[in-house]
Amino acid sequence: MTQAYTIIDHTFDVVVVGAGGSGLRATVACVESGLNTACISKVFPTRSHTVAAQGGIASSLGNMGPDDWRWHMYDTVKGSDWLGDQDAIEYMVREAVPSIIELEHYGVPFSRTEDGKIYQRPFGGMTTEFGQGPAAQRTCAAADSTGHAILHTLYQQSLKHHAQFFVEYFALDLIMDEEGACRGVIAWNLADGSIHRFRAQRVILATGGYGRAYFSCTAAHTCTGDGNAMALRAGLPTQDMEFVQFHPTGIYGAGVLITEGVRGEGGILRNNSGERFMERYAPTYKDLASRDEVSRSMTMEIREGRGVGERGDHIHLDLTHLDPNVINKRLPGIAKHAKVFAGVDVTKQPIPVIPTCHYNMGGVQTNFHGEVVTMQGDDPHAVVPGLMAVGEAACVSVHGANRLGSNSLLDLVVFGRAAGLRCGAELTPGATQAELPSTANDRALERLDRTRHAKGETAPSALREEMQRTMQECAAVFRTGDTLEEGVQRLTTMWDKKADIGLADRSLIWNSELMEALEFDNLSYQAVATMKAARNRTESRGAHSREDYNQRDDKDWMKHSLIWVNDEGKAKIDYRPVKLETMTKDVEVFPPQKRVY
Amino acid sequence: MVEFTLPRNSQVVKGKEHLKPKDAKRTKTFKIYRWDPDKSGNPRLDTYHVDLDKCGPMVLDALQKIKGEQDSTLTYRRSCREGVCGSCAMNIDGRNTLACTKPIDEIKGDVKIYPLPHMPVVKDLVPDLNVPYAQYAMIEPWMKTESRMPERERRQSPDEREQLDGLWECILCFCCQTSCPSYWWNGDRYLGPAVLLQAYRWIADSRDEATGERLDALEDPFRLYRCHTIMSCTKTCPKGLNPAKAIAEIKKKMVERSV
Amino acid sequence: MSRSFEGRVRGLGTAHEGLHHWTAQRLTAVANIPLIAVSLLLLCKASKGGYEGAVAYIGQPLVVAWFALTLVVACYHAALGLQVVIEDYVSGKGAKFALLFLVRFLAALGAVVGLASLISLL
Repeated sequence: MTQAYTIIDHTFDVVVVGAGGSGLRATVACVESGLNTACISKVFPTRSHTVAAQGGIASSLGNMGPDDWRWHMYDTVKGSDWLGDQDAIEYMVREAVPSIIELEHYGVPFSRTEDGKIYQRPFGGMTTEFGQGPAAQRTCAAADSTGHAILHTLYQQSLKHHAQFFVEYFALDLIMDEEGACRGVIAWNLADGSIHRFRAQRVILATGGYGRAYFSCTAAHTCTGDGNAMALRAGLPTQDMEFVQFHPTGIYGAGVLITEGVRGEGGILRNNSGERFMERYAPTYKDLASRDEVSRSMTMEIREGRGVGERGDHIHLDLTHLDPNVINKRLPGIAKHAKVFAGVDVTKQPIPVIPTCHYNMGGVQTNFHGEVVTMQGDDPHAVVPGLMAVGEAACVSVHGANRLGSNSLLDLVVFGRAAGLRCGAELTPGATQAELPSTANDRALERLDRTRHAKGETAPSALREEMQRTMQECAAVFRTGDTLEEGVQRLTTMWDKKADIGLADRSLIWNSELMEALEFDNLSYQAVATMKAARNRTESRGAHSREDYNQRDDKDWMKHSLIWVNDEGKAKIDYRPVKLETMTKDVEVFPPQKRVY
Repeated sequence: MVEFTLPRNSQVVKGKEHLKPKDAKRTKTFKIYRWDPDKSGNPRLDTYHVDLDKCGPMVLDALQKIKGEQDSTLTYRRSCREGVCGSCAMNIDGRNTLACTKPIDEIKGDVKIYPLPHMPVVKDLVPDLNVPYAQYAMIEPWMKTESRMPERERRQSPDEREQLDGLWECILCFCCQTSCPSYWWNGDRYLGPAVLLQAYRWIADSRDEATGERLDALEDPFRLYRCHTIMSCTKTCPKGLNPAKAIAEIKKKMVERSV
Repeated sequence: MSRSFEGRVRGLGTAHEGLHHWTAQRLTAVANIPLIAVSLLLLCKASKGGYEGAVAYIGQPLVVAWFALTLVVACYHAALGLQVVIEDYVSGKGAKFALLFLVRFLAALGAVVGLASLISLL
C-alpha cells in the first residue's frame, strides 16, 4: 500500500448505511429500541434522494371515500404483474395505515381536506373494489413535495432521539467473516480522509437505487446503488435486477421528474394531434394506468410517428385545462420545475415529457423483516446473519416487476420501521461482539488504494458515460434479445477498460474524483446484473418488455431471478419461487390474471 | 470582530487557465475558486472555457462538464440537480444560489464561482456547514405535544395548514444564512435566517404545543435580535421563501406574549 | 476549537432578554419623530424674540417639559442604537464591555447635562 491510512474503530449495536427515508426510519426505530445506532451517509441526510419524491405515499386511510387495505393489496399485486411476494405485500399495505398516522404525529405537513384530515389524491394503478371500481384516492400528499416533507421530518425525529450520524462518510465495503456473516462496514470520511471501521451486530443497507447506471434518469447524481454493489462484492445475490421502471413523465432533455400526481389531479398525455391516446391503451383508467403501461404506450406513439416536437421524439403532458388554483395549491413545485427546466408556463403550455429511468425494483433480496436472505443449498430464504436491507436497495419483493407510484415512500417507512423493530426484538443492547477478522479491511482498502493511484489512460467519467449510454440504448422500455446481447458485449468491453482508468487527484480529503470512480465501479456491477438478467428472462412482465417474447409466461417465469456478479464481471443466475401465500388468513391469495387497466 | 479584508493566507490569487475547447463557436468563461487542503498556499481562481453548444443550460451542467472533461480535481457538492436537495449551494456571479437551477445565460460576462461566503472552506467549493447544522438541531425542530395522542391524524384545517406554506419548503441549502451580514459577523451566536425560519415553522404549526418553550429558547439579543432586517436572505433564497418575514413573525409573537 | 459544534452553538445559553431593547428602540424611534419635529418648531419660535425672549419662551412649563422629554428619549434611543452597533461589530469581550459602558455613561451624561441646562433656564 502506497501510503498508510489512518484507521479509526467504532463499535455499535446497529449501523445503518444511508440516510434517506428508509435509513432514517430504521435509525429512529433502532434508537427507540435502546440500541446504540450509527447512521452513515455520503450526503447530509436531507440531501438524500427521498427528498425528490413528489406525489405522495399510499395508504388506505379512506379519507376521500371508501377504501380497504385489501384493495390496495390487490392493486399492488396486479401492479407487480404477479411477481411481488404476497405475504410481504400484505404486510406493507396493512402497516401503511399506522405508518402514515405515525408520520403525521411526527409532524409531516400533509395537505388537508376541508375537515382537517390528510388529503389523498388519485395515482396510477390505484383502484377500488379489486380493480372493478373507480380510481382510488389513496395517495397521501404534502402538495407535490411529499418526499421532502417526509425526509425532513424523519431527520428531525432522528435529532429528537439523538441518533449518531456520520455525515459525508462514504461506505466502501461490508466486513464479512468466514462463516458468511456480516460484521460491520468500512467507510471513508471525506472531511479528513480517515478510514473508519464500524463493527456492529447488524448492518442495515439503506443505500437506495442505481438510477445513474442509465444516461437519462430522474435519479440524483448520488444514486449509485452502493449497497447493492457491496452486497455483490460480498458474494451475495441481487434479485430481479432486470426490472427497471421508466417513469412516463420525465422532462424531455433534463430528465427531471414530473410527478404522476399531475395526472392524478387531472393532467392528460397528448400526442402530436392532441389526442388523449391513453384511452386506446387503457380504456378504464386511461392516464392513470400503471407506469410500465403508460411508458410503453408513449413509446409506441413516438415510434409510430405521433410524437411531438421537431423530431417527434417526445409527448405532451397537458395541464392547461386545470384550475390555476389547483396548480398553485397542489402542484406548485411542478409548475416551477416546468418553468426552470422546460421553459413552460403550465397554465398555458403543455410540458414536454418522455419515459425516463426512475426506479429499480431489483435489489438485495430480503424477507419482510428486512433480513437479507440468500440461496444456501436448495434454500433460497437462508438469512445472512448480521445483514439487513431496506428501501430501494432492497428487493422484498413488494414491487415485483413494476412498482406502483406512491408505493415507494410507503416501502421506505414500512420496511425501515420493520427492520428497526426486528433489531429491537433480536438484539441485546451493548452485547459483546467478537473481534473482527484480521483481514477485515484488506479488500476494501486495496480497492480504495488501487483506484486512488490508478495511472491508466481512461477517465472514469468517460467510461461511466459509455456504460450509461449502453444501458440507455440496450435495456430501455422495450428490449429484444439482440439489443440485450449487444448490451452484454458492450458492458464486457467496458468492464475490461476498467483496468485502464486513471485519476488525477490522489488526495484523501474530499477527493470527489475518487468517490465518483468508486461509485462508477459500484454502478458497473449493477449494470452487468441488469443487462444479463434481462437477457436471461425470455418473457414480458411488468417493466421488462421483450419484443421477441411479448407475453407473460407464468409457466416458466413466475419466479424471481437471483444474480451474482463477481469481480471479473462474470454473472451467475439462479431462481427463487414467487411467494403465492399471504401473511395472515384475513385475505386470500390473488391468483395471476390478465393485466388490463 | 468585523473584518474588512481577508487574512493574508486567504487572499485569492490568480490560478491556472485551462485551454479553450477546440472548434467551439460559443464559449463562456468560468472563473472558479480553488483551494486544496493538502497543499499549503493561497486559494486561487482557475479559469475554464466551456463550449455552450455542448453543455446543458445550468451552471451545474457546466461544472459537471469541466469536471468530466477538463479538470477532474474540481470539487463541489451536488446531488439532485433539480433544486430540491440543497447540495450545490454556492456563490455564483456574486449571489448565493443553487448551481443546478441557475441558468448560465442569466449571467453577463464571465461566470465567477466561489463557495458560500464566510464559512470555513474544506476544499474548493465545499464549505464546512457543521455550525448551521448544529444550530438547526438546537432549535429542536420536531413536533412537541402534551395532549393525548389521537388514534388517527391530528386534525388541521386547510387554513391552519396554509400557515406553514413558505416555511416547510426550506431545503437547508444555507444560501440565506451565508448571505446575511449579521450572520457573517456573529454566526457563532446569531442563529441566522435559515434556522430562524425553521424555528418559526414549528411556532406556526397549529399541531405543536410548545410555542412558549420555543420562544423562550429564542429570546436572546444574539440568537434572534441580531436580525436587522437587511433582507439579503429573502433576496437570495433560491426557493423564493421569505426568511426575513418569518423572523419578523417571531418578533411579533415575542411582543404578543408580553402585552 | 476542541468544543463540539453542538457545544459551541449552545454557548452560554439564552439571556432571556432582547425583547425590551427591541421594543424600546422601535418605540423611541417612533416617538422621536413628533418629539424632534415639534422641538425644532419650538426652537424656531423661541429664536424669534432674541435671547431674553427665547429664555422666556423656553421657560414656559409645557415647552420646557417637551424639551426635557425629547432630550431623554433621544439620548436613550442613541444609547440603544449604539449598543447594537457595538454588539454587531466588536467581539473582543473587554473592548465590548468598555464601549457598552461608555456609550451608556455618555448618553446618561448627555441627558443629565441637558436637563440641568434646561432647569438653569427656569
